[in-house]
Amino acid sequence: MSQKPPIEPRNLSAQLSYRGRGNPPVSHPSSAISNCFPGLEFDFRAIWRRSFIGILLSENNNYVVEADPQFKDLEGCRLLKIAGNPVSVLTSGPIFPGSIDTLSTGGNPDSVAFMEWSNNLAQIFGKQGQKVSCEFTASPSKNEVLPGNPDVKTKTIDLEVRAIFEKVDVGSGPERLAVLAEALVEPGELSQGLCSPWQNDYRECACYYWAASRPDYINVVAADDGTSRGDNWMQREQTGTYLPDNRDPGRMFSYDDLFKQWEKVLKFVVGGKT
Amino acid sequence: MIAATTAPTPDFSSARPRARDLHLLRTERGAHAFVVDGSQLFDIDEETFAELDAAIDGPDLDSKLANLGLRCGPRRIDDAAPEHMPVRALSLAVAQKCNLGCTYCYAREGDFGGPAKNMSLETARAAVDLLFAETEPDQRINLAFLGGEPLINRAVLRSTTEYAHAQASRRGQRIGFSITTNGTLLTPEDCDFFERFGFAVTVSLDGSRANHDRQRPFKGGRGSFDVIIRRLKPLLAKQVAMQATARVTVTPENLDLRETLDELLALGFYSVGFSPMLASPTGAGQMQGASLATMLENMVSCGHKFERRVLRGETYAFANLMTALQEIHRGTHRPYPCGAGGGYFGVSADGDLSACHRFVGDHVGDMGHIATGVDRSRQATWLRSRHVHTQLPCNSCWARYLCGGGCHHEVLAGGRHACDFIRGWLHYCLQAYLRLSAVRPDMFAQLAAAHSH
Repeated sequence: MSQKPPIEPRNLSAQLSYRGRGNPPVSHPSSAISNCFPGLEFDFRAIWRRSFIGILLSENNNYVVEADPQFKDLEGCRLLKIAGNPVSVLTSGPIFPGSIDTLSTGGNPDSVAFMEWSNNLAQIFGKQGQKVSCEFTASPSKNEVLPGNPDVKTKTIDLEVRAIFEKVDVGSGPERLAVLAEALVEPGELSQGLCSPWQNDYRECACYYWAASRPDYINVVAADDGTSRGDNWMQREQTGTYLPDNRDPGRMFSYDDLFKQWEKVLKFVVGGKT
Repeated sequence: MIAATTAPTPDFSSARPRARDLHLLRTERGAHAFVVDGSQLFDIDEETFAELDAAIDGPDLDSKLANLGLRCGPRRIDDAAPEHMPVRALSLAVAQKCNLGCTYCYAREGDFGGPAKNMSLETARAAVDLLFAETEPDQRINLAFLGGEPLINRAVLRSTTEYAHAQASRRGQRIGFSITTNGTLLTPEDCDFFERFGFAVTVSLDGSRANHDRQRPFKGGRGSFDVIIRRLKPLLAKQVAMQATARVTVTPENLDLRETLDELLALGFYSVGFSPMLASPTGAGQMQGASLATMLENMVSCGHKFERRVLRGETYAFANLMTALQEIHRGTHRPYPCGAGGGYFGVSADGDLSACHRFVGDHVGDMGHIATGVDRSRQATWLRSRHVHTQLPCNSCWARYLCGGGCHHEVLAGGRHACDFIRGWLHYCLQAYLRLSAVRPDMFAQLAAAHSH
């Protein structure tokens, strides 16, 4: 039988703010890694996908994944500009010492980078419920395209910006609630892009990036001389001697271990000890 | 006679302020904590209740709340008054005159104690222009018509509505219209007009014929109830885009709220709300301690009926409780009781701006003129001095961010003598929310979903 917790938040502001006993600060939206990119608890990029009524965008890009029948010819195209403002920019940086060059890759020969989601959301936040002019590539494009490139044919269509928050009528007209609009994200979408044990980033990211849910360095014992002994979180045998990751599946958890049996290989870390 | 049914006698003592940051309460479902910062509501177990109850008067309450995870981060409302608040809503006193002679009227039978006058179309249009000049097209705005009795100046009311609607359409801006009327001059054409522009219509009605005619007679003394009911029929039949709400001013003479609520809902109003007469210019009809206690008892009785009806899946449009439940659900917390002098201003027939419709002709609430815009210096002083943190005894009361300190006009005129009533009512509303949201969480989800477009 489930026991009622000693404290249970009831109204919306309590639900948003309450931090259960034992939960770390990052379990809270205001201080969570979800506040950053791409997020540990929620992947907020998901709210970009349905920002325009009639089309579905990639969560991290300007690529039109799907479209309603009246916009079918936009599928596979790139959204280049919103109300005349570009959504992507040319990237440049040092490749060899002493020189700055555009950052092209085989899959992205034009060195174009989609701006981080918050920049593009800022463009449309004040236009919810209104139509804005959206410039797309005239035809599908696998590659990134630089907005304003005169060699690329474009087409411009007015699309309505979807409301981000749910609304409620309080008698004097609609008032915004603190919950995302149901039409904006479907159940499961906010978490499906997260870093989880069954995703590459869980093993990939070092430097304490997922410190909240996966400490890098465990069973740490401090020595008097200022050094310490302990285990790498991904070493199979915890000996108290830190093993650098050499991707040897005999010594370290492999991607496959984490994808297929994360619940068996990972242990709880309490107070720094497994 | 008003039967209390199962309703317990309102208990002022359980709503009394013990700590500025916490209010503890109980329902049949157990113990609860209302955390003032952010208007957060929790179920708590008996052990936690006892722990908080013991600490509530002491210096460790804040750290206790923080340790329990009930309060974290900086306080949501600080002492600073908001700055740069644009005008979002105006009410136009299109007619500073009235055909009724209500003894308790803040507008002193309609003319605010001065010469009776109508607003000119030029003044009304200039007010609308100010509203648009202050806002961006993505901000919702509201235009209200009040008086006196606004339908005395019907031509300006209609022409101004059409002008504002056309301007809003051109800018792609959402605009809401509202009117508060005594209902005596309503015509079928008015009803069509209000429906076409989606007005929120508030009709002042003080209950049954006897009560109403005693409090709201024509200036010659003749009763107005029958005239109003006859003229209301087409209005109440038409409500699609429009909503008609009855507003009952409660004096010691019309405390039979249960009967009044049922009678007015039976007429076909969208909702019915009660307001106690707290500051009457003549003193007539003003509510005092004993009558406020009776009013609270009857409000709670109406609330219990609302709860029973809602649990059966029915509606019962008791506006005071519906508004309170929605605000508690969201965790509304505000340092002011309303938008007066912030985003909302009253406009007199001569174009003077005041903190709200009640301050027309009262220099305490002067806020400039439509020709020169809002007097920003007076507005800043107003917002600083009216902030609930500066109000006594509000700054030590748990209900301060739900109540906001009480109606500025009433408080400045008559002080705060209704605090026990307000706290008692909010205490009950918290209990009702805790009961209803546990059994019918769908009700609050539906509220959100039904208005998502």
